Amino acid sequence: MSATTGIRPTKGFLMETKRRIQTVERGTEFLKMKRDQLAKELTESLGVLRGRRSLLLENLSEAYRALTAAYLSLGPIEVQSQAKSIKNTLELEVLPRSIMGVVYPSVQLQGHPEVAAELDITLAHAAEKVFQIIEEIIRLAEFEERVERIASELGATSRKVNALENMVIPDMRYIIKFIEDKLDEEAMEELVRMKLIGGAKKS
Amino acid sequence: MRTQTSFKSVMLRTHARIANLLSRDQVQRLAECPDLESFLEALKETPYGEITLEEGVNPSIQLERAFNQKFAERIAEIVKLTPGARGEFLHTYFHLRFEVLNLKRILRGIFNNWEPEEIADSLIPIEPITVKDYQPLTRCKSLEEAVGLLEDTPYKALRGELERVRQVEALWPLEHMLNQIYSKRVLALTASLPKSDQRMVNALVRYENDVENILTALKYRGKEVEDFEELFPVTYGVSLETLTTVAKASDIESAINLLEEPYKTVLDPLRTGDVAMVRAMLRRGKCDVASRAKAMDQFGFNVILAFLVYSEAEKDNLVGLAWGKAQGLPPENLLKYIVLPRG
Repeated sequence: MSATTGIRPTKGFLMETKRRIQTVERGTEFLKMKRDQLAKELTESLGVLRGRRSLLLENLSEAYRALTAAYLSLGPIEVQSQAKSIKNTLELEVLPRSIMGVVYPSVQLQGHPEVAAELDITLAHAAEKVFQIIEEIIRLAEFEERVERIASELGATSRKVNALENMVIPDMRYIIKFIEDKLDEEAMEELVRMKLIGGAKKS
Repeated sequence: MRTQTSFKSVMLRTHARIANLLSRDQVQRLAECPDLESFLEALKETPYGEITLEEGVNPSIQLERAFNQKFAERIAEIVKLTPGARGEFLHTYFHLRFEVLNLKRILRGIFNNWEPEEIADSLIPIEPITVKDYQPLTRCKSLEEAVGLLEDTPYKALRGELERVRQVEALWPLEHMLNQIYSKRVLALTASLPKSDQRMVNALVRYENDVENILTALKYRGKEVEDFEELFPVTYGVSLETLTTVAKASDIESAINLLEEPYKTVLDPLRTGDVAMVRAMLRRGKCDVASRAKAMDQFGFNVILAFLVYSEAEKDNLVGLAWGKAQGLPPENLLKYIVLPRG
């Protein structure tokens, strides 16, 4: 279907289309600004994410070493027995947060189990490391989700900008040109008709 | 005269048993096994023989049970051989230790609503000594019910801690009380031994108690403690004052520096964060105490106690090795925690 199908080539519609194209162009500019900001945010976040991941891997191997040491010094049955003696668990609250209109989940740690009094010092040391890791994993998951949502919003914004720049605005410009041409043509026809009528009257 | 002869024969048998414990080479071979299957194969060539594992049950837990069983058998054999008060002492000392450990596991299980079978599976297979039977305890639905069943035993003081358990919603008040009861009973038990035998027993009990006290003090470092006397009911070489200062020390370095030898050396791995090595050092220290006492009198009660100390260290080594093999850990990670008696 052509962009001009159903178009009324009137002056009123031309003015309306010109107003609309101005709004669309302003909107496109805003979207471009949002796209650039999101791209900047994404680039910065990816750097942070890489750093946090490598730190997490280091801490994970440290926690694994501590846990291994606890198993080696206490034996698996005692470790399981002591580990199950902790009743309080990690409590989380997930709240929505927004950055440039991108909503992402923000995790807040509410309750932290007190392990020191319940466990042998070897296991308490390992448990502290593991809880530290769990907190880091939660923070990292929150950050990854944020980055993922920013990336998805960036994709959507880029598609919108491309659609506006390459489809909507050129179509509207074409419509304006089409109406202007039609109106010029009509004006010319009108002029010719007037001249013909005028010439006929004189003769 | 008859007692003396039989005691000498016990000594000879005990020396033979010490010689039968796993050698450094055997432990090294076990640690170097590439997996659990080859570990079990290598174990066949030791006094432990063939251990068959059930399918569907964690193999390292099954092996820990088997090693505990072997250790319990060794205690039973040596107690049977040892005449008089010494035999009584060994029986009570080791059984009491494992009874307290089993009671802790039962109370943890009840606290976390484990199934009775699950609780029973976590117990060390050693007959109770002051409690009639573990089975009724494992079936209890609440801590109150379990503590009620212990009313006619030396553990009746546990009842007084139930209110605190409810307040803090944690089990540690009961575990602390069990530790207190154990320490006091061992202290009283040592007095039942002939004077000549008390030295090594005292050295062992004191050494272990001191290190455990220091570890507790370090565990509570930086935390609010209402009553240090309650936390450390029995102290020997490290005074309550020192333990309080350790618990209040600003950092681990200064806490360790407050201590004297041999505790400073035992706790040295804490400086690098290797907490598990402290437990290995504690076991090594106990073996060293036993070896020194054994060297002083090759035909005394010390030899029997040394055998049991070495046996316990061997059991702990094997439990660690079996778990490490099931996890596929390299030998160097396992061997550093292995404790072998010197001399």
